[in-house]
Amino acid sequence: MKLALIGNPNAGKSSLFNQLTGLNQKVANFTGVTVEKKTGTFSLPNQSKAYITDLPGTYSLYPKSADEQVVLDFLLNPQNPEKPDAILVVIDASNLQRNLLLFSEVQSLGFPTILVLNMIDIAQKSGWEIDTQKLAERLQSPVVCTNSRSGEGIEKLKEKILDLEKNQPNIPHTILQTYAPFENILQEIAQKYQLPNTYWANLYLHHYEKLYFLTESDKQFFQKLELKNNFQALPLQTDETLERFRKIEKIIAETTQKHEKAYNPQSITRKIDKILLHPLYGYSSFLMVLLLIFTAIFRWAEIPMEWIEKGTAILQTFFRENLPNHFLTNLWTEGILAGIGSVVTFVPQIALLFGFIAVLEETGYMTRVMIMMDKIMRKFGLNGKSVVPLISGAACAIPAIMATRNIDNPKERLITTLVVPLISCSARLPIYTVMIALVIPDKMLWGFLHYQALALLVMYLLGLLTAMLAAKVLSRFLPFLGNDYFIVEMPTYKMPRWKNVLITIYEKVKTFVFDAGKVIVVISLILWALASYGWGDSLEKAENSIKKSYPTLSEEELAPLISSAKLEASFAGNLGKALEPIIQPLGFDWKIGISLITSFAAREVFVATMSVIYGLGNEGNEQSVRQKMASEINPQTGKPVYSTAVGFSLMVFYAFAMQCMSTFAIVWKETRSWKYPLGQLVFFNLLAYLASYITYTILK
Amino acid sequence: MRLHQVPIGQKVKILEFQHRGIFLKLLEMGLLPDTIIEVLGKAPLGDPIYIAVHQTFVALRKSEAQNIVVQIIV
Repeated sequence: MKLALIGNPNAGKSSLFNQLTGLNQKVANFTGVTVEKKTGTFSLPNQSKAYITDLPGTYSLYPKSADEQVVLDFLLNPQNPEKPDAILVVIDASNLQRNLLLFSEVQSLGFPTILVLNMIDIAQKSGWEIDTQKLAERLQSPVVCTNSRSGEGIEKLKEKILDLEKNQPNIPHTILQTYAPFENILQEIAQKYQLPNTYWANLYLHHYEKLYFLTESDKQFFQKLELKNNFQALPLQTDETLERFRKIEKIIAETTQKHEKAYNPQSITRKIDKILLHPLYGYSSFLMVLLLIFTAIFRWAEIPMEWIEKGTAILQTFFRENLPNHFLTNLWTEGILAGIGSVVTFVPQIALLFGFIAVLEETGYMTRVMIMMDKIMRKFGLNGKSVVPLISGAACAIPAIMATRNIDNPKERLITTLVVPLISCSARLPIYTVMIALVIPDKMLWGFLHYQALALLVMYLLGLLTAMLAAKVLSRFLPFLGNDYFIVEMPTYKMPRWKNVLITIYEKVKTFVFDAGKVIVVISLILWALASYGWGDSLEKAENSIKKSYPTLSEEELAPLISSAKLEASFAGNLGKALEPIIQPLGFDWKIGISLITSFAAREVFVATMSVIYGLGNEGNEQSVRQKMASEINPQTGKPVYSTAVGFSLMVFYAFAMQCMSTFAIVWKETRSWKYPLGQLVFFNLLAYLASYITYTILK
Repeated sequence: MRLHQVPIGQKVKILEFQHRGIFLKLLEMGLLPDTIIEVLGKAPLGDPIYIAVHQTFVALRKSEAQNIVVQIIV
C-alpha cells in the first residue's frame, strides 16, 4: 500500500512520520528540484508493508513556493510511480478551521483520505471538544486522533489504513459553486487527459504553466482555453478558498464545542516571546545561542576529530607494516584510507551542528531567528535563517552548507549555499597564522592593538563582507523567482523531542558520508596520485640524486630531503612549475604552486606541503615551516621571498579561492548539479587571482 | 486603519484586503475577513510584526500589513 503524508507546517507531520517509520526512512530529492523527499516503510497490523512519502508542509494546493509546488506535482502527475493509494492528512486539532482547508482540497481530488487529528492532547487541554464520529460522517472520511509526541493513536491509525486497503471507500464528490460557469471546459479537460474528476482538471487549468510533466503542446492547449473562456486564476482561487471556508465553518460548528479553560497553550509562548523577541534580550540571547553553536563546532568537535585523525594514522601504519610494499598497498593506505579519513573527520562537526539546528527547529526558536534577522538579511537577498549557516561557515563550510536545507525559500537557500565558502573557515586559520607571523611585526599599535591580531581580523572581515556583497549581487542576477513576501506561522514553544533530534543527526551524517563522501574520496585519490607519481622513473632519479649528493647523511636525515625532491619531481611538482608563470604576477613561485594544487584537498594541507617541500618532512610544525620560509631568499633580488606583499597576496588568495574538495562535493550534493560547484570554483578562483594581483601590486 | 498602524496589544477586526497578490496566502493562514486578530509585538528592529490569529501566531512584514484594512474593536 502506498501512502502520502500531507499537512500544514507545524502540524506535527514529521514527528508522525518518525513515529510511523522509525529509522526505516530514506532521504532523497524530488525529481528535478532540491526539495527534500523523505520516504519510509512500516508494517500494518496484518504484517503487510506500507510505503509512505512525507510531502513538504503546505497550506493549500495553490503553491507559493518550490516546496509547495512539489506537493502538487506529486499528487497530479499521472505517471508518478509513487502515486498514493490513500493520503493521510495531518492537522493540528486545535486549529481545525485553517487546517481543514487543505483536507477539503485533497479530498476533492478524489483520493481516499484519513484525517489525522494530531496534537489532540493540547486541543483537549485548551478546551476543544471534538465529536470525531460526527466529524468523520460529515467529512465522509475516517478520522483518527493522535499525539505524535507520545505516539498515542499510532496503532489506531495503522488499523484505519488497513481498513482502507480492505474496503474501497466511497469518495464524496464535491461541487464548488465557484467553478459552475466552467463546468463544460473542465469536463473537456478531464476527458482529454482521462482525469478522475473535474477538480483535478481544474488544478491542471490553474497550474499548467508550472506542472513539469505537461508538454509544450499541452501548455498551449491550456493557454488557449484560459484565454477563450476568460478564466482568471487568482480571483477564482480566492473565491474557491472562501467558499471552502464557509463549508468548513458550518462543519466545525456542528461537530465541535469550545469550552473556556484556564489552560491556554499560547500564553506561555506569548511570555517567552516578550523576552526572546525583545530588542535587547532578544539579540543578546540569540548571540549566546550562536556563540554556543560556534564553540561546539569549533572547539568541542576538535576532540573527536583528533581521534579520527589519529585512528586513520594508526590504520595506515598498520597496513603499511603488514602488507607487502606494493602499488596496491600505497593506493589503499595513502589514497583510499586517507580519503575515507578526511570524510569521517567531518562527522563530529556535522553531528553537533545538526543537533543544535534540530533543537532550534523543534523548540520553535528558529522561526524567531528568522523574524529577528529578516530586516537585516533581506537587504542582502538572504533569509533570516541564513544567519546560522553563515556563522557556522566560520568553523567549516561543509556542515554550514548542509544547514542551508532549513531555508525554505529556494532562491535564498541557493544564494546562501553559494556565498558560505567565502566566510573564512577554520582551515584557513593555519595559513593566516603562518603568513601573519611571517610578514606582520609582533608589535602594538598605539600600545594596545596587536598588529598581528588586527591583520587576522581584517582577513575575517574581508571574507564576511565579500560574502554579503556576493549575496547582494546574486540576488539581483539569479534568474529565478523566490517569494517576495514574508508571512510565517510562529509555532508555540515546545520541548524538543530527542528522538527527532537523533534521527536528524543520523540522517544528515548518513547522507554526507555516502553521498558527498564518494566525491571526496575520488578527488583525494586523484590528488594523492598527482603528488606521489611522476613521469617514468623521475621519482627514483630524484631519490638517487639526493642520496648521491649527501653520501654522509643517515637514512633518517635523508628521508625528508628525499620526500622534498620526490614531490618536486611528481606530477604535482610539474604542475606547480607549469603554474609558475601564471601565478608569478601574484608574487608566488612554483613551491606555492605545488601547495595550491595539493591544498585543494583541504586548505590546511598548504602548511604540510610547504613543510615537505622545504625538506622538513610531513611532521614539520608551523613554527619550523615559518622559520624556513622566512630565511628563503629570492636569488634575483637578494631579498626575502616572503615579503609583506607576498604574505598578504597569499592570504587574500586563500580567503577567496575555492580551495576545498569537500566544499565542492557538498555543493554538488546540495544543489544536485555540477553547474554550481564548478561555477564557484571558476568564479571564486578568478576573484582570488584578481584580488591577490591587486594586493601584491599595491604592496610591492 | 491599516494593520501596520495598530498599536501593540490592540485587538482588531479584519475588514478587507487591498492587494490581491497576497490575499490568498493570508486567507490560507486563517486571516479571513471578519476575523478578530491581536497585534502581539514587533521584531526587535520594528519589522516584521506578529499577530495572534485564532489559535496561531503569524509574523508578517509591515509592507504586507499595510494592505490589510482593519477596525479597532473595544
